[in-house]
Amino acid sequence: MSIGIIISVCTGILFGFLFFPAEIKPFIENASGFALYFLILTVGIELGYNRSVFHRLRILGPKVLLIPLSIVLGSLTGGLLTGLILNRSIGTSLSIASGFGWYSLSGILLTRLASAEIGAVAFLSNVFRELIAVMTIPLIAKHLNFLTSIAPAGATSMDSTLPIISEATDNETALISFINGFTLSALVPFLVPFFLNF
Amino acid sequence: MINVLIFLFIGIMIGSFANLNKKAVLLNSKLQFFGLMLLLFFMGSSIGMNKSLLSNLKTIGIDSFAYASSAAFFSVLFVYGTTKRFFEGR
Repeated sequence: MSIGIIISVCTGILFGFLFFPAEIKPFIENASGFALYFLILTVGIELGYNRSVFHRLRILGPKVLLIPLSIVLGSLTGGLLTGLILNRSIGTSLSIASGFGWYSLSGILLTRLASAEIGAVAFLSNVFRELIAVMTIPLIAKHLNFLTSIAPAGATSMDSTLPIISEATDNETALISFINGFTLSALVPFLVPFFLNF
Repeated sequence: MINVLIFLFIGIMIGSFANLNKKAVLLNSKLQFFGLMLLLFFMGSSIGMNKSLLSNLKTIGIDSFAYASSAAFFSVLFVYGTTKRFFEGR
């Protein structure tokens, strides 16, 4: 998966730099618009199909949602402060932070809805977030507590970083981690465009 | 933006009510992978065609790292506070 992502982005950059003339830019924008809607449709189908998560959630109790809520507030606080320091607009900064580590979707959404530059920052910052998560999850699980180790992972806690969390903690934390990733992933397509209009 | 929400909603409805079998879900995830790779290729080409963006790659990298580390740091801080307050003993 991650190798496929790197290859696709790098081939794209290479083609854009070497072969594509400026005139085909509108075509690329249209094609990526259709591809985006198609992708969002398949994401929706997956979310709808996995709704059994909501039943499991009922067993654990709504308290468990405090974890994704804290991650949303933490990410937005971090994004806001960084935006102020870097002198970037508040809306853009909150949009970038609302990727919660889901680099492909947030990068694509912001390339499409804002600009290639903001899309690139969103993509890279969420790649970095996943890398930070991979490196810090075992340390946080050991020195703070199990549930906090989910925090840096954000939306990736349901797929790419789930095995690491599961390895570093216990079964219940792994389930909460999945629910957390699911909840945050469902929020990304709403929050990224929402904050952009701030 | 509204289009994104419409397509997401249609997808959730299909996934919830269409009674999909395992094969259809597998096909959906394959199509999703294909769509994703295609989009990332387009995203890459937008970056590659944007010469001013490429010359700013160093600044973009530093800014991106700042966003990532601060978002991760405050998430850890907030979740740790929440676990201390509401999940004592875990």
